[in-house]
Parts: sequence; C-alpha cells; structure tokens
Amino acid sequence: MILKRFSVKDDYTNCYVAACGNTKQAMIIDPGEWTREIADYISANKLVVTCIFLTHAHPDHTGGAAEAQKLYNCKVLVGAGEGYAGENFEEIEEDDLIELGDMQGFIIGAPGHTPGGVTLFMAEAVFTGDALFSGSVGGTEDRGKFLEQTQTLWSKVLTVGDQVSVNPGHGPCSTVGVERLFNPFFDDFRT
Amino acid sequence: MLHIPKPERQVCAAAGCKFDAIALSDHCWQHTPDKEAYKNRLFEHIDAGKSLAGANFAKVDFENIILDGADLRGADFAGACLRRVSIKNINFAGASLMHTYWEKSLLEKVDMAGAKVEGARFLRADLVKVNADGARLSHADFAGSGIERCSFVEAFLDFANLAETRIEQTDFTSAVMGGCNFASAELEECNLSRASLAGANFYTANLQKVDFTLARPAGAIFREATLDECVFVKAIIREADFSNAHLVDCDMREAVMERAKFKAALFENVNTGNAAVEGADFAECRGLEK
Repeated sequence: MILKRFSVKDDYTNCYVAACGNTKQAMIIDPGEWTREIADYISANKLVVTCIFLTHAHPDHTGGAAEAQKLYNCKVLVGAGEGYAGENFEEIEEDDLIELGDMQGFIIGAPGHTPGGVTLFMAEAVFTGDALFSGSVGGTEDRGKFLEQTQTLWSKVLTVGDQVSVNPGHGPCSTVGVERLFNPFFDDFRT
Repeated sequence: MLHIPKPERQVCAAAGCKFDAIALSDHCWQHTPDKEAYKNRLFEHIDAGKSLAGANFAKVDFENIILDGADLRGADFAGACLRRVSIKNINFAGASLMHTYWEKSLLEKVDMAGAKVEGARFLRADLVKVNADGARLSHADFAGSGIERCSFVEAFLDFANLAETRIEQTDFTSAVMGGCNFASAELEECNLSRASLAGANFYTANLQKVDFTLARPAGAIFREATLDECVFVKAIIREADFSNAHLVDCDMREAVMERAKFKAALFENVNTGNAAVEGADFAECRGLEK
C-alpha cells in the first residue's frame, strides 16, 4: 500500500492518501481541509481517487471532502448514523468490505467519540480517526460511551496484529503493539 | 514513487538448494564456493561504478568490506552480516535491510529513507548523517551505537533498543517510537517533537536540549533521568514516571501530566504553566514551588 500523511487544519488534523501500489487506485481519508499539497501529491503520483473515506463526520475531518469530491467525482463513505450532510455518499457499517485496487479492507465499528464512527483496517494499517490516538483515546460524552469505545478498540482494533500501524485523526502515528501494551486508557484491560 | 530495476533472480545452482542465487554469483551465499574471491569480484564491480540496484545479497557476510559509493537502491540484504563495514555515500532507498547485523560499522551519508530495516542490529555502530526518514526500523537494536546528525522523521522505531547510545543533533519528528528503550542513553539537541513515545524507557538517560513539543510519551519512564533544557510544551506525558528525575531549565507549559509520577524529582527552574496535573504525584519532589 502507498500511504502518505498530510497535516491539515493548521497542523491539527491528519489526512491520509492511501493507494494500491499495483493499480494506483486511491482513497482520501479524513480530508479535514483540501490543500494544494494533497492534490499535487495525487497528480504527481498518477493516483486515481475512487473514494473519500470519513472515519466520522466532525468538521475537522470532513471540511475538504466536498472540494475533493468535486475534483475527483467520487463517492464519500461514512459511518451510518453520523448525519453526514454532503452529497453522493454511502453509509458503511461494521464488517463492510472496502476494495481499493487489489487491496481489501474492512470496517470496524468504533462508536463512542461519535455514534457512527468507524475504523478502517486495510493492508497493515488501521485508520482510527478520533477513536484511538497514540497514547490516548478520543473524547466521549459520558462514561458509558467511553467504556463502549475502549472495549471495542481493545477487542476489535488492538487485536489485528502488533505490526499494524495506527493512523489516527490527530497527532503522531503508532502501532497496534505499542498501544495494546502502553496506552494508559487500556490499563484496566491488561490486568 | 521510487522505481528501482529488479534483476531477475535465479535459484542457487547447488543441487537441492531452494534459496536464490546472490548477485554476481550462481549460488546462494552458503554455497558460493570461494567467498574471498566473491568479495573481490564485488569490490571490482563497485569500483568500476556498476550498479547493484535491486541486487540480492541475502545472508551475505560482508565483514571488513568497503561498499562506499555503491548503487544499492532496492537491494535485498535480508539477514546479511555487515560487521566492520564502511558504508559511505550510499543510497539504500527502497532496500530491504531486515535483520541485518552491523557490528562496529560506519554508516556515513547513507540514505535509507523508506527502507525496510526491521529487526536490524547496529551494535556499537556509528551512524553519521544517515537519512532514515520513513524507514521501518521496528525492533531494531542500536545498543551502544553513536548516532549523529541523522534524520528519522516519521520513521517506525517502535520497540527499538537505543540503550546506552549517544545521539546528537538527530531529528525524530513524528517518529513512531512507542516502547523504545533509551535506558542510560545520552541525547543532545535532538528533536522528538510530535513523536509517539508511549511506554518508552528513558531510565537514567541524560537528555540535554531535547525537544518533546507535542510528543506523546504517555506512560513513558524517565526515572532517575537527567533532563536539561528539555521542552515538553503541549506534550502528553500522562502516567509517565519521572520519579527521582532531575529536571533543569525545562519548559513543560501546557503539558498534559495527568497521573504522572514526579516522586522525589528535583525541579530547577522548570516552567509548568497551564499544565494539566490532575492526579499527578509530586510527593517528596523538590524545587517545584519556584
């Protein structure tokens, strides 16, 4: 997989371009802002954008989606129940398969930070949005949602393989192995 | 994206052997008959300026060889031994250096950006001006090595062993370094801003002018470490352990220090303005009131 991270929204949000190395089919993940740098990367590497993937529908992750969609004439994939207000979008949910060229990924439902938040697992990488960060987890409205989110992350995301890279919506990347062992928000699960 | 020519590989000519033949040989390394002659042939090839891009050197023993200036882009060194090797001005872009062994070797002005270097061992090696941006160095072992003016921007160094290393003026911006072991290491003027460092171990390390701005050393261990002029602005050091550490002239403004341990730590001129300290343990610490 070709994977490139871009810092957008004044270095606040991570936007990713993921592509199949064989077919050059690409997806844009969480374009919180549309920038010339991202567009240039896509054209310089002759990538063919087939979809925009949103881990959740907060504006710092979706702000550039409409512009990117107009440019590449592609659909938006977003979790069911996120209340996404854009055009030409398709709702996705737990266990849905996502194809990107020769690669196949699947959706892990990760509600908590938002009701329909999703994590994408594809080719040795998970894209966790605001559910899981390096050394932290996303904020939730209440304790119940926090427990639901951490339980889901522990049982479904932090089990996909220690070498799998964690690509969050904000901050640095990590690996599943590191987060499973050291993320302090999972202390209760480790004991 | 990098395009590197990949020479066609042939299976080793030895009867029954299933390994690929190495470059400039009909055999795999184990079955190459005269290994000294092979090394001479390799040296002449490099000396003549011929490319070795994409070549197979799996498990080759390069001890004491000089590879300076060779074109080794995309080459496969998996499991190769590079003990006491001089590597200068080499481009390893896209190469596989997984599980290579580099004892007492010198790597200077080497470009291994994006290379696969997982599980490599750089024991008492010297790395000078090495560009390892985006390289995959998970579980690599640098114990006792010197690292000077190198760049590991966005590299994967999770669970790497950097114990007892001397690291100067090296850039680890946005590197993935969770579970890294820096025990007794000496870091000077290094940039670890935005690095993920969950569970990293800096036990008894000596850190001078190290920048952890926006880094995430959650749950990291800084016990008995010395931190001089280090910057932790907006860093997330939740549940990190600074017990018995000595912090001098450090800037920890707006850091998230929830449930961090500073038991018996010594603070000298440390700025913790607007830091989040809920649940942090400052028992027996000295100097913080200033």
